[in-house]
Amino acid sequence: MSKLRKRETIEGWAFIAPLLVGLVFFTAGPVLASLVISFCKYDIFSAPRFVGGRNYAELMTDPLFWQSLKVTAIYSFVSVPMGLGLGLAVAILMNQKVRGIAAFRTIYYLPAVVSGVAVALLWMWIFDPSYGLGNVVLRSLHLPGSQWLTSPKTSLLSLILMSFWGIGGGMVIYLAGLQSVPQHLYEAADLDGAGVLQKFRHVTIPMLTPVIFYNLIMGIIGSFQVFTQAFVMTNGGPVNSTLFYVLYLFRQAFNYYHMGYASAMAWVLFAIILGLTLVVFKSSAFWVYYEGERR
Amino acid sequence: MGIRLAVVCCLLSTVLCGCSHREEPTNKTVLRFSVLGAKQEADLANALVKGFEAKCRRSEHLRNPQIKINVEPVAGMGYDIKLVMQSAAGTLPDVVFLADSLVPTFTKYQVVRDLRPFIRQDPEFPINDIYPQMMKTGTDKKGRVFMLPRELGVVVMFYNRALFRKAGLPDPTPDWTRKDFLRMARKLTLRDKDGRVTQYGFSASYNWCGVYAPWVASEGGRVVTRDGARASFSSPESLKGLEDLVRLVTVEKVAMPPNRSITIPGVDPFAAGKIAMQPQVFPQVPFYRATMKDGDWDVQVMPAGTMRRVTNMGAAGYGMSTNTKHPKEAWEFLKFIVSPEGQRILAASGSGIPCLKSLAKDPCWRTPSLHLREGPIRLSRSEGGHPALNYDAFVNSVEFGMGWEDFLILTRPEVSDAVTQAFEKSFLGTPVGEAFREADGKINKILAEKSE
Repeated sequence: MSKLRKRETIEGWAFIAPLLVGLVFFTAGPVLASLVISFCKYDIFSAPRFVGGRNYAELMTDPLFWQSLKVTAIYSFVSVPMGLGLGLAVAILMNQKVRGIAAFRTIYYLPAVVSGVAVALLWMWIFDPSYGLGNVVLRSLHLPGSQWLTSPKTSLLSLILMSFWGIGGGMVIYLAGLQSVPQHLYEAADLDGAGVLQKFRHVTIPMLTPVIFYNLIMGIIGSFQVFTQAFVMTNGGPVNSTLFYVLYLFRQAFNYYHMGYASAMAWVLFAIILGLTLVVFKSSAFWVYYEGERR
Repeated sequence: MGIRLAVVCCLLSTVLCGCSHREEPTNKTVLRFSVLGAKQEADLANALVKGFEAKCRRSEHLRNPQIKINVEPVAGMGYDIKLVMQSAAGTLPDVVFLADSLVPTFTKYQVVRDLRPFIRQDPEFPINDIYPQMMKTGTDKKGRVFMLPRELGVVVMFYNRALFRKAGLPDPTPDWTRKDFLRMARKLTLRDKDGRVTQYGFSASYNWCGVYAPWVASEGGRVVTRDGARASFSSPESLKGLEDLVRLVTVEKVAMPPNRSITIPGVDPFAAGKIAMQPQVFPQVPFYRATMKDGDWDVQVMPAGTMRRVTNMGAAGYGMSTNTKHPKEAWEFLKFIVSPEGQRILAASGSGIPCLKSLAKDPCWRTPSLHLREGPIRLSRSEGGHPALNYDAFVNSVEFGMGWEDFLILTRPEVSDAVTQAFEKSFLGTPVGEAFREADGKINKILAEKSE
């Protein structure tokens, strides 16, 4: 290696050294530590005590672990597809050439940038069975009011409904995707006599599949890590009907000081999200079309 | 090359300056004092520190070396977590705020030290003047004292006098019973033409051990066995008290269900005049003085159950950390807090009732003008002077306070969560016996795991 090359290499490493140090000490290091702690009994005060796979075995027999997984899975499998659909629908509406459309786009996007705690507190008001806007609207339509967050039958559905508040984030990405669909494809479809729905099904959706794929992956990852809403609004109740996985993990770690158990939960969550992500990636070969791709 | 070397040297020297240790003057001892971040707590802490430092200046044996105390408020949630982390890192402050619910955790992990040697060797310590029930809140089963209480904490019934008068009811009397309470609650619960409740006779945090444990005890039950080692929610006597409490919500419908509101969210329903009675503690007095402008409310001892009258007692306080390098100075400050002078500072802040029996009748905590630091009190329309409060209800309740040893296991988060879930299930229709038998099983399993 020439002297110049050597010097450039050293300088390159020196410039990225702060980032590398941060990565090792604040990311990779803690991640590895949590893996080790997941095989230990550790309550912060005493030194970690190695117990092998006992934490993982206890997880399998913990009814609240399965309850939290069930609640999170239901939330994810309902809110993600519906969120994708709603986001796309709103993006299509926002893609119209209408005066003032920029204002509408802003209005739809604004909720996505509001702080999670503020949103949770706002929706607590909306969901109040006595005075909330939700029941005021239902009663004005001569429909019976709902118990919303105070009943185990409706609490999770209420949180799923609340999740649609943030479709603005996906909408913006869909909008970019819609505007990048080549016009000549629509023109060709027009020439072939395709109607609006046929163009949507055979041109728009296929060209949007990379964006849908991205939103699906991000939606799955995000939905499995839901925490703020449950923590602020319900604390997992009533009767654990909104006990999300990360909320239960937080409780184990910071209320009960079961750090080893919580670390095991974290790695199980990692494995679940990784598994689901891989499944979606593998399946993408069958339904995601990239422009210019040969099939 | 020369410029690069100069830049690196400048950066290094800047970093090293930041790491430099400033030596305190040798004639000064600096203590760190950790408290909750709420404004009221920080203000109280600063007032206590000011009072102590003034006392040190007057005192021959405390003047040199000078004792300086730095207050460290911990903002937001997680005060206990922060202390736990500091203990693990060996950076605990010298004196720490403690609540009774935190004592078991911190004593288990020796975060705070046993104060008995200091108490024994110090004749100035008012051990005989402090309410013994309050001393017990900081004492473990082996008699070790880890927390000095800073106040007398006792639960009494706050009630809205205006609502009572509207319903044609007299004020509750010191000898009132649960039967009187139920009769009053029924009359005080009002409904509109659609059947929706517009005013409840009673409300409480049902899963707070300060409510359910005395309720059960007043019916002859115990939620914890005598040795404090096992839960006994599902014993027949305990179930009687629990069913009595749950029935107020599910059958009598005179008590506000949990997680419901009868006012705009964020507005206290008792302050809004929508709840006629609720169990509360003295630190709520300044809040209700400020928000209930008519001042037409008062307090009374808790109603007696079938077997006896019982109420909950608890306290916040302060302890000395195990890794303090200045135990003598820390002890002098702790002793000051529970001294008459320190207790008068506490009383003046409106934060609590002094923990000293000698101050039970003292005007330092019984004078309403002290309760509002923001401005003058709005006087009630019917009275020409300061709205009086039945202060005696607080000190008289000491007579039937529950022993703290009954609460030790109930303060653990896992146990508290199990009880909360049992109440939730009961309110939603599960038979009380079934819900609490399940809770007993969960709690005893938790306790069995802990004793491994």
